[in-house]
Amino acid sequence: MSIKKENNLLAVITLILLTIVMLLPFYWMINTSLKVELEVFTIPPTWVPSKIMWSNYSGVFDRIPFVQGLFNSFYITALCTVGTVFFSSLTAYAFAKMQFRFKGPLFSIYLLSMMIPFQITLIPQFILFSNIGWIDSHLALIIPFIFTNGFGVFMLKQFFQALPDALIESALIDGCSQWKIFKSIMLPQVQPALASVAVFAIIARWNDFLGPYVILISPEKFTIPILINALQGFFSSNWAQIMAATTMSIIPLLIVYIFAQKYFIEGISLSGIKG
Amino acid sequence: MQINKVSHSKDLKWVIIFVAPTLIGQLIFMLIPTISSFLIGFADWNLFSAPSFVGLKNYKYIFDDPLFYNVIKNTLVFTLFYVPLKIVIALAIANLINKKIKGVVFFRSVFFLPALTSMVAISVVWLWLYNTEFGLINILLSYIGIQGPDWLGDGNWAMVSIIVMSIWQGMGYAMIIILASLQNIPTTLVEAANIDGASKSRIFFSIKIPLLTPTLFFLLITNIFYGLQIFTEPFVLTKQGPADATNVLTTYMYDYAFRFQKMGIGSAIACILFVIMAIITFFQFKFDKWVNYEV
Repeated sequence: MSIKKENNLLAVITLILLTIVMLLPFYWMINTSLKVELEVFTIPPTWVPSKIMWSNYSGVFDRIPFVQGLFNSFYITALCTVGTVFFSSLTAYAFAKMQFRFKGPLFSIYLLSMMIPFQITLIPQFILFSNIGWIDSHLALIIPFIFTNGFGVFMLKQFFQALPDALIESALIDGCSQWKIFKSIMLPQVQPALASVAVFAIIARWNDFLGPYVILISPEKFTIPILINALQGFFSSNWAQIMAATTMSIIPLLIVYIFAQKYFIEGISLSGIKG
Repeated sequence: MQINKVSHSKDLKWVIIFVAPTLIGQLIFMLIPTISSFLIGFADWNLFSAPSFVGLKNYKYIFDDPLFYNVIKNTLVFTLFYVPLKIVIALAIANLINKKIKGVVFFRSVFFLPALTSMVAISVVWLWLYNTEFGLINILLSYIGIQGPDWLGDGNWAMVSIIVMSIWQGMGYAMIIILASLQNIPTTLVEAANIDGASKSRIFFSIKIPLLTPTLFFLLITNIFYGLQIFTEPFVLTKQGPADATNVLTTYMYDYAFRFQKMGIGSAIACILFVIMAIITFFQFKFDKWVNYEV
């Protein structure tokens, strides 16, 4: 019994040490963000700012289009998430429950799309976008993402397949349309999978870097990661303000996580089991 | 029969409505670009003039470039250290948290926090932590009497810095997946082994690990792919330097396509990456047989 307790204590101590390792960079980011510019460069460093400088935060808004960036990231993430959950589940349902010709070969296109690295499509997509005027346009970030979510289709198909056919047959006899069956009977039953697809879309879109970096040119079109990458250009080595902007960039997704923690954990767990 | 036919043609209408949007999307944004990439790899094209067919010239250029071999080496070094270290650490922590310790939800969130944050933001924060004179890491080292190196400016340490940061960032994500699988292991199995007097480590290696093989294999493959494709870490943290010490396949490709406007060479590099990944996928299916899927 005492050995067990000792083991537990050791585990707790290890976890606390690990927690410090995980949180220290975030603490240092916030600590730096609240210091007077010169205090950032004192040795030994101060673990608590001697004077709290909220103006570092307000200064960010004066120097870079941060609010615009937040708005851009927010609406792109929202449209992408809603769009891809909707269209992926439609397709997944058809592949799971409808009979049609060339079903196997067509589905392999979706499987293949999961294996294609983004580097392969980056250059041809860029050329395509420059031909149709989507360079420096958010359309290039939204439309392809919504319609090419092979992972979403694959995962949702597995969930739809697990549902009994009898549900659909009886609804058809009752005169329900396919759309109504899908929307009112089937969709509510795969809700955990929908949440999982949504969570992955939110994280992927909010944090996406290379795609927007290649496509966006005007600062007022920038998403948050592009702005964060450009911080050193705006603030040179004013680390207090760089850290203030970085702190603010992390907060929105953190708030979403706090309210939807269950879906995040479930969604990621599902990807490991079903994926 | 008549009824069947009617419902079938109706069905086809619904199939088209349900499938067409994503199918057209896949064709325009995935399939055609993928094929195009292979074709552009055989062309000389700077986007301002018409492309011209040059055969294997781009590939010859790449294979004659000493930097290419350096880039391959860097990509492999990152992957070979990043993937196993990350999975082993995640496994150890998941096993630790899986015990009935109060505050599992708290610890889980703490470890997941970096994975929730964009790699760009993480890289900017670590850029500051790795600062030679004023960075937290060298300050902490100085407390124990060690003079820390110029992490990002020293060719010997730059890749180490990227690996450490990447493991710190991605570990929580892997841990959540492993934790979910650990919680799926029937408690009866572990209890039975306990009664039989099996030690903790014996239970871990003889019961838990075999049952975790599908999950670990999944993590292994997805992380190898991640490692081969890294971009943001070297691009933001070290600017691929110093002296190309952290130049990897995707940054190398980015340079040719978007800095030098050589779409042909850029596409050829992407195709080489694709072939490497296809070979790994092939072996994945071969090794799949060894993975223990029944629980």
